[in-house]
Amino acid sequence: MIELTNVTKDYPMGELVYHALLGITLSIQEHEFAAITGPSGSGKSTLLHIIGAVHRPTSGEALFDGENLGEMSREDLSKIRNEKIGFIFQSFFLLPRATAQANVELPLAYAGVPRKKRTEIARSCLERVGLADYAEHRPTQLSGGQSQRVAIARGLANSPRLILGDEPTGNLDSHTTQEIMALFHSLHDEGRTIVLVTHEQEVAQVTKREIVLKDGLIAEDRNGTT
Amino acid sequence: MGLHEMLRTAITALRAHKMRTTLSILGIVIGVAAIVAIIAIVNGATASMKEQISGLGMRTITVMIFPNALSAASSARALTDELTSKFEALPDVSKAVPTSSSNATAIIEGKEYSTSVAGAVPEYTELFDNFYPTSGRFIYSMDEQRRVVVLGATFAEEYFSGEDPVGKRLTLVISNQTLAFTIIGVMCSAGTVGMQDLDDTIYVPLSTIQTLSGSRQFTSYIAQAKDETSVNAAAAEIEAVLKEVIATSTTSQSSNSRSRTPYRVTLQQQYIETYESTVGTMTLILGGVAAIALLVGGIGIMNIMLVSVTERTREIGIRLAIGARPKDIRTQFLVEAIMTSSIGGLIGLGTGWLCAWLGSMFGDWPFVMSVYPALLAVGFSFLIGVTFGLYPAVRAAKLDPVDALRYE
Ligand SMILES: Nc1ncnc2c1ncn2[C@@H]1O[C@H](COP(=O)(O)OP(=O)(O)OP(=O)(O)O)[C@@H](O)[C@H]1O
Ligand SMILES: [Mg+2]
Repeated sequence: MIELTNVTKDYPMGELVYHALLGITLSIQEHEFAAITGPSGSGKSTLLHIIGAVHRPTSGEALFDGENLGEMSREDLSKIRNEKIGFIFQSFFLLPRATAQANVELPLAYAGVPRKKRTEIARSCLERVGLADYAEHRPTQLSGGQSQRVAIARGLANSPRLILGDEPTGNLDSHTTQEIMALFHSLHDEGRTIVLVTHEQEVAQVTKREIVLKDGLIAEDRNGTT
Repeated sequence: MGLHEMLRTAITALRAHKMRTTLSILGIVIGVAAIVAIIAIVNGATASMKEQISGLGMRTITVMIFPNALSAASSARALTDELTSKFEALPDVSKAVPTSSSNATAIIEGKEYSTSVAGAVPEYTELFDNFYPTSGRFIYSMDEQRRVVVLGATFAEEYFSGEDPVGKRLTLVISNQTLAFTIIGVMCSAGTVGMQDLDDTIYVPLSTIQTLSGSRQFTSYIAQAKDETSVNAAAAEIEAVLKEVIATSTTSQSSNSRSRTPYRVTLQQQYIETYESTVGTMTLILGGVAAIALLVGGIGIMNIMLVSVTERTREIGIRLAIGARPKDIRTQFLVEAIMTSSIGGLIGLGTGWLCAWLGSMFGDWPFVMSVYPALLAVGFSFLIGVTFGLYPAVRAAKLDPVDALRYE
């Protein structure tokens, strides 16, 4: 599903350039469940953004279903993000003035799903993350953990084939973490591909594959851990 | 994302910044209100002016003969009677009446007022459809040479408010003579003929005026064409008569240096045309000022939209990150700009109509709430929204989700 070859990512920092990724070659198959781990600042989020068609690589090749993300128009990248990928961002990226319900509906609105259907889907997504009672709350009225779960619900809304989570359990207590991990597992069982960035060992351990990043390079790529 | 959705999003965004939205539409409101009010007021005033004039008949033709032109035939009372009957004999003229107009000072209860005096014959009232005395009577033929006056409606209202002036006396200073006159009637309100306001005039028997001023020469005529379509023909016929009569009566000195025509024939219609062209010029100037206000309003909207784009970088990034296409973002901001300016246009329309209505109350003319300026105003503000919203919208659409993810 995802093929990265020698992918690098530079961030311009004024006169200087920060090399966040130095050459990543990686392939993720359909129906995989992988974790990306590594120390802070090692480039985990950057890598996930490239996989998720949010960033274009500075060099190298990133293929999504065989299509080169680096050569796609912005419109087409938007389409892929909207239809095929559910992204749970590290800092949630919820619209502050919209209710939880409206936030979850947003990707559906851009996909052109009719209003009634949208409400229905958003409800069930909020239910799946245990926030059915908070549909009318705004992000400012939600705790960090609740916001994170709204972000997860939004990531599920378009029933994407690929779900990318940037520390999706980072703000949750261990009990809720377990619930959310169970949710990811059931999503995986439904046939979706899942890639999670995480700090937490216990989270990484329950995934099938662990990709360890260090200083913008893959330090380790463990398969078959259970 | 459908249009309905876009509108909802725009409303939410605009409501989130009520103060800013209000300020940004102010320019549009003022511009549109000014345009709408100007058009409505001008239309109302013109309608009332036309109504007044056509109430007197679009058939009226005013003939003025400059006194010196006829110096050779100076004592020609016969000529003036002859002219009247010559005019009336013309195929397209139904009626002609000699008259004179001059300014005089009226003295009422010791106070002096300057007023215009018309010399009138009994047939004078027949020139107009609805010109009759509301009190007393108009000048009869037995009034020849008598010192009697009939007051126009405005004059009577202004100087004898509430009481019936018939039977009272009035002092007039005519041709340096101060004489007392008896008021025998008050006329109804009738409007304006040419430059003369029939209501703000004092009517004195023509023969009396002529005797007082020492001239027996009628210097002007009011004629009436058979119908509105024959006005021009009637005027031409009158001119032909004048040319012939004046040529024969001034043969002895016709070769002098004076080159201007010694008479003037004016159609009531010409006054309307003159009025309309004056008003047209004024409307253009005022409209230009209002258009500048609109332009400034548009720039105001663009300014606010640009601020809004910068401020909402993060929001834009979030939308892009979860799959909004750049096109969607562009439409969103465009819709916001158009909505802002259209709301401004609608409020301006309401304000403009209100001003026009107030104007019509004070100016005493009909309130003309025409649809055309309404459509124009709203359409124009829509256009301003598109024009000045496009650049900020395109800029918003060009943002990269990466920027937004970094933007705090
Ligand atoms: N937009 C950016 N501009 C400049 N530098 C950036 C930008 N985004 C990330 N970086 C830098 O790139 C490096 C990798 O960042 P990244 O967010 O991928 O790390 P991470 O592994 O996700 O860290 P964390 O675990 O703290 O989330 C960091 O040193 C960061 O400072
Ligand atoms: Mg990170």
